[in-house]
Amino acid sequence: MGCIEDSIGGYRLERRTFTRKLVLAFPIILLLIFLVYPVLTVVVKGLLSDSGSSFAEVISSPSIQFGIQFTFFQALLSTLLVVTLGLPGAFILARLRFKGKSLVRALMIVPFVLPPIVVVIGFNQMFGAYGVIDSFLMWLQSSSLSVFNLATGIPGIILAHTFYNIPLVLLLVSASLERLNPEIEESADLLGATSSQRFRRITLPHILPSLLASAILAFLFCFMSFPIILAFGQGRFLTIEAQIWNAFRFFDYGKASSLTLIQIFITLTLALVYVRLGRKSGNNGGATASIKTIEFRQYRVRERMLIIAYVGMLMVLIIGPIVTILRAAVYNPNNGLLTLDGFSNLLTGGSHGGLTHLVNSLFYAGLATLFAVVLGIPLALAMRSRSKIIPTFASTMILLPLGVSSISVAYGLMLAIAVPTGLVTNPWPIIVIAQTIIGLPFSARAIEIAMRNIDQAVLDQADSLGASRLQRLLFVELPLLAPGILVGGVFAFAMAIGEMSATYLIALPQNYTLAVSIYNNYATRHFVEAGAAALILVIICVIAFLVMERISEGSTTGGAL
Amino acid sequence: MADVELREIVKEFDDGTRIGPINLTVKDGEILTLLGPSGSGKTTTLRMVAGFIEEVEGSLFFEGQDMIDVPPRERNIGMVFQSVALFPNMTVFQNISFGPEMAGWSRDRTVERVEELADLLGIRNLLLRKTSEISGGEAQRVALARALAKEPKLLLLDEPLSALDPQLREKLQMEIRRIQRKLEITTIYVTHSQDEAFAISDKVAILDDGIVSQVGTPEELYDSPTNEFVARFLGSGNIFSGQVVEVSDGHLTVLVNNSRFKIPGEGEINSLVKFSMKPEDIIISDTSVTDWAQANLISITPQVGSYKVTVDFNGLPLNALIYDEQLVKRLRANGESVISFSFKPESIIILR
Amino acid sequence: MLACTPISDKNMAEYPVRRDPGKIITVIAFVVILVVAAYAIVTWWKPRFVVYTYSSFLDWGDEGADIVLERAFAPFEAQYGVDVDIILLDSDANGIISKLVVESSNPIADVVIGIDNILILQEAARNVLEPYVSPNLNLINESFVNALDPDHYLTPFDFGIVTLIYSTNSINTTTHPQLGNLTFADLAETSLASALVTENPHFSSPGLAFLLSQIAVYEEILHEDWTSWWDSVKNDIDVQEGWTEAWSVWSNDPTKHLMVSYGTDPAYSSSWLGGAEPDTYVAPFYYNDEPWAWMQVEGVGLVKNGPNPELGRAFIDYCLNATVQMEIPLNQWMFPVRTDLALPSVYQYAIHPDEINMLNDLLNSTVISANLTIWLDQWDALRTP
Repeated sequence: MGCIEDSIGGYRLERRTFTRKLVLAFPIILLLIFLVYPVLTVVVKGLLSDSGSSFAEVISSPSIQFGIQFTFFQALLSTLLVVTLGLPGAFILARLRFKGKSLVRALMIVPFVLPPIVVVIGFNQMFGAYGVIDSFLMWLQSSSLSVFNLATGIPGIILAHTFYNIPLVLLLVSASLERLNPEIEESADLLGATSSQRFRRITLPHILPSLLASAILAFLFCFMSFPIILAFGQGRFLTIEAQIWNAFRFFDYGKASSLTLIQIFITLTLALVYVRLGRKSGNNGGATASIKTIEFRQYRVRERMLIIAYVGMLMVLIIGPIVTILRAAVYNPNNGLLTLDGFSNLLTGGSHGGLTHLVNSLFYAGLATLFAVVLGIPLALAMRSRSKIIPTFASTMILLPLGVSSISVAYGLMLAIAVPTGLVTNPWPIIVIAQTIIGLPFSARAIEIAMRNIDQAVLDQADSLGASRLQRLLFVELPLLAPGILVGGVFAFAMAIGEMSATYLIALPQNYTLAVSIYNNYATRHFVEAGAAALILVIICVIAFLVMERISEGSTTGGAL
Repeated sequence: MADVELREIVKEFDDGTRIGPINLTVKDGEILTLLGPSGSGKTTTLRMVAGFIEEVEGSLFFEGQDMIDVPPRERNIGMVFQSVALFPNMTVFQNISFGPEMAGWSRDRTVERVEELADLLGIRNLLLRKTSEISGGEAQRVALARALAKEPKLLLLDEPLSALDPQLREKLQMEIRRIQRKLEITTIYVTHSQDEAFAISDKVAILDDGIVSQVGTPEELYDSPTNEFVARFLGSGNIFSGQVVEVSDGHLTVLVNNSRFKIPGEGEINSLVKFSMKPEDIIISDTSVTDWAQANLISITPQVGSYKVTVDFNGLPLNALIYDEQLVKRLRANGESVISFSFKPESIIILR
Repeated sequence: MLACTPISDKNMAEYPVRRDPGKIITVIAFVVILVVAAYAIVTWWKPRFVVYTYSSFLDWGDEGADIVLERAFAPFEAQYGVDVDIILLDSDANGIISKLVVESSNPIADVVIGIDNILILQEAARNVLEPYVSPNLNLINESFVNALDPDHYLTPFDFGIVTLIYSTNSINTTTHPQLGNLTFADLAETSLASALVTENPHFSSPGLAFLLSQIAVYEEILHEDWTSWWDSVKNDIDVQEGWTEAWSVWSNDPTKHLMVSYGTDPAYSSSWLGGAEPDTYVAPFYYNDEPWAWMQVEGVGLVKNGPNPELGRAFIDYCLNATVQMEIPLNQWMFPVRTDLALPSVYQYAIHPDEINMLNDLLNSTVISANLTIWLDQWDALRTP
């Protein structure tokens, strides 16, 4: 009797494990089909084809070499600036007590998730020709021509990148600071340490992992940056990604493939380092918010002045560009008049009308978010699996979209999926796939972080109480994961709706999204149309994040990083 | 018929630690406590019984059937953790009803059962509350109700009261015992508190570094520890170890710290022997008595109804329990630090 | 009876009922599938006859591309009973070829309009097209075929010259006398170089034409190294992605006076001003007292392995008919290859290729196809900061 029981039980166990493995492997399989296979196709095709440049030619070309150097240079400079400008803010955010802190913290993530093309618009409006600062200076000098333009060339690129990435340092480092046990610092005080010694020996080592992590992330995003480069680079300052874009457009596959390979190598190395750091610093200490906070008036006058100056600078740099998008939506620098044309364009239908673009944006991004969340759950489960190979494999798959040129992915999808299936005629499913891929790292990571916070004992309880694996998932795990899923979903949505380059490559005019139309309008100097569309995107993003903050009440920001 | 039997249960972990072999029997309706210091393997053993540990060797019989390969959800057990682990997203009612609802009980039957358990545990008024709105003691009661909801065959409790304050602990100890008796449910209890174990158990198993040191009723363990570990752990004795220098007629003379003690027992000359004696069996005198060993007085600690006297017998600390107030006064007044002590030979227990 | 507590319905109703997430998920999934299916059905692509061209095709007239295209091609649709879908791709001709290359294993386009005489020299362009000799070629001058593509991968459609234009509102021959006798050396001076907008030769045909013009002048007329000119204007010149972007900059930026554009722009300007004198003038290059410019011929090509080759050929024939050709002057602002058709009066202001010397003659197609990639690479290197 015991033997039969064993064999039946064993068989059931086996089948269940197989189904479970299949469920976990499913998103990985999808990523293999829709990410790895297309990129491989493009890269192989390019490297092996006769026409176009060979890898050797590409490496030795001076413009390519300049491109690689420039990519590193601007990323490095941007990162340095981000860290330098962001660190004081992290300290202020952690130490200063003020009303509405949680709201500020929630909104702090917005510059980071704003679509880059929107950043272009805002930045241009704040620091560019005929922008807010320029108009003011023009008025002062009674000039009718632009006198101030920081939104161009290297300064524009570096500054825009700083704007974009400062939230990383602010949020990650301040979160780490808050976990620093104040008693450690007090002990150091008692032992006679000066404040610079305290900083060097206690504070700095404590925040070093999060500082490094945010620096690496910032570097990675600056390295892969594309719309900002396109807009401010004057066509001469090209990063690797921009050069890939160009190469595809004049069908030099060899060049595009070679550049993609070089880029993958560099970015994946960085991403892996980031993940390693994340693992190490994951258990970085005690209860959150154990740090003691100080009120503003408790600071000395000199310190108060510094804080005000710093916050002022941050406002100009960060809040400024976002708020001035309001102006971009109605002010036409071509004739210096205020107009509502931008909004009326948004309301026109038809295949070139703004309304179609808006609907497309919401529809594609919505679907992509749904898929990113649905696929993110098994992926997160896979990353926490106890087997040997599955977690590593899953983690690598998740990093791929961050490290591979989204333009190559788009091209690969066209070549490997759209063309053979004839989807070229109506490529919106491909757009959704591309946007899903781009949002997936964020959703999976947010869900994985939420999973870490679930008490295993609760899951054991569900097991011992007789719930099947599915029941446990539906009735216990999913409700507990709901905040994490929400966070992941909102991030994925922001990424998807802001995606421009892949969508642009794949779409036919009737598939254009707001992001693409912003770029087109900006390039053809239809600034008001671009501004109005940018404003809509900003509003959508801000609403999404406020909703997320309200519903998940807690330290959600940084939850997907 | 034994209800739960662990037979030759062994588990080797990756880091080299090892539990077992463990052999235990729990009779139907009985409550067995696993008692031991931290790291002795009691929680691990309990989790093995629950099914949360994979690749365990040996057999685990529930009512005669080997469950060693059966996953936890099919073992029909109820378990209460130290951390309580209530489902945070559900109300108290939904926590308790979880098991039955997953098993597909009808609504009527579920509600009836939940109310019945709520009455039994005195938490009827809490049913509609969220888990964040109840106290620690109430939460443990909810956890208990939840574990019992599906009428499991076996109840496992892993240090359920460790996180509560002493008054609450005592109160809940009694309740758990009462409920267990009423429901006649086989129970395995884990604790590191000797008082708790002795208060509620039918049988206690002392675990030492992964194996069972001794199993028995609380009285058996306290009065007759079979080995040094049990004796030390239970504090049931002062432990003497020395060489046998004389053997005569059912008695041994043992040389301990340069003093000779005559005790009943069998043994060989020159062999090493360990024996223990309970604090209450040591007799202390403030005057010098022939044939009595001498020791230095270290401290006198008043307790409820008695005094704990600690002495140093040539480096070996001994605890004695005395009730004689006058003796204590004299010892304190004397300022003398040398005392004599002895014991009734029958009161010693030879340890293996 | 009184001893036991009855389970009243009121009590049961008070207890929370567990919501099944499985059901919620199923409902959401159902709704999503419905919405997606609806969208898919609404946007489903029905097989039709597809033409690829660039976005400003026939769009520069008063009526807009929609009406003009309808008028031009409705007879074809009626005659052959097909729906003609003219897809206006958002790129210059290079981008279209890129798209055709991607789709080459399973093309959906039948015909492509807008590839010009330089682009066709690239191997990638020829690889995606199929030669076709249209019987309607007898309606046009043979020289066009030779100027465009003697191998017949493309059938001529329209032509014009690529040259510099300027607005007399900002500069003219009085303020800048060089404009009447322009050389590249004049153009290299900062005052003019910083006022010039040109296009990227990688992506734009006028941009490429301008580059080849400059190479032709330096290599064949002046016998100097052509790269030196780009070196000298490196920091002043404004290179836009394509013609549309360049036009926007030229129209709106008060510091930009000169632009690389088409010889028909004065006609456009006149039409814009209601037939009056134009305020846009051309500034061809003068060497050896002769005006020089680059002639561009655009053509229609049959996509290789397209879905409807027969229809494709008929369409190409049709493009040489008057119905289509007569829309070209006022909507495309190029010269139709059907030179027998009357041109609108504003075209008196347009510069015709007969009025200038063609730089194309200095660089023949063999030279171009052999060196184009090298020249473009060198241009990239020159532009590197």
